[in-house]
Amino acid sequence: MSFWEQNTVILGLGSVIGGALYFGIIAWMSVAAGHLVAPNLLVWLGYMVVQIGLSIVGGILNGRRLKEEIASVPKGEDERDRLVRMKAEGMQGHVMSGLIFVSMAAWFIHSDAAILFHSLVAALILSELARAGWQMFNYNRAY
Amino acid sequence: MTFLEKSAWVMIAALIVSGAVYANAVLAMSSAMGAIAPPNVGLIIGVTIVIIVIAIFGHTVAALMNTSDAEAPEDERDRIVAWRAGNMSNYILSLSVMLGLSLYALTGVGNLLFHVLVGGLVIAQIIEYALTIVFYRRGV
Repeated sequence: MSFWEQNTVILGLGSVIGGALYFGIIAWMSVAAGHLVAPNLLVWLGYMVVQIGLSIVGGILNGRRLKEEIASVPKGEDERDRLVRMKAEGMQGHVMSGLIFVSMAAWFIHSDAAILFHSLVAALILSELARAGWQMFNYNRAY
Repeated sequence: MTFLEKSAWVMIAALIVSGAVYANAVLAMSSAMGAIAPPNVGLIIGVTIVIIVIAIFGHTVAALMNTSDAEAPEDERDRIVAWRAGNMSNYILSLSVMLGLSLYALTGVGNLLFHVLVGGLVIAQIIEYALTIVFYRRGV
């Protein structure tokens, strides 16, 4: 598996772990409260720190391990890597737009900003996972 | 100018007009209420209709100007331009969602979160079409 494939897996894992922590905490708080809890600044910041932190640390460690592979390509990314990444990130935008529309529709049905907030966090996580999955798929079928 | 470039101009015009209508209506309602106005289904539907009408009219005119170009299948360059522009637009959209969520986490104003999302969707799309034009003109 190339450096960028491994990096994609690391970013996807960061989303899975960050998302599981976020929704685990929200579910636990909601069960305790007996209703869906309002968004919490600390939980939101915690999610971002975990996701971004895991991705950065994982990327750096992986980069150190495979520094010869990265150094062998100008700017660390060849034409195929670039095309696969652009294609996957473009698709991520479409997935995210769709999920944002669903979240906005949920606002009109429930009139609850907490649902809008949590569904947008889910949209960020799911679109990131869709990007990682699509990127891996395109690497393996040669884009 | 290719059909896809004309199409991008049409969509930019549609998004600017509808975005301006939405922003103007929200600002007017908010100043009348003295607070950020709640999302309005009628306004969202109205703005969507404006986008659809401008897009249909604009694309029809663009296609009539050069029918063979409009019917041409997408080539490799078109695909790369679309991926690259979509990739940049995705960053703007992600940032706007994170901005909206952070603003809501700080202020607790749900209406603001909704309007930031609408703004993010419109701006991300305008940037995607603008970049499409830039990439066609300077080559990918």
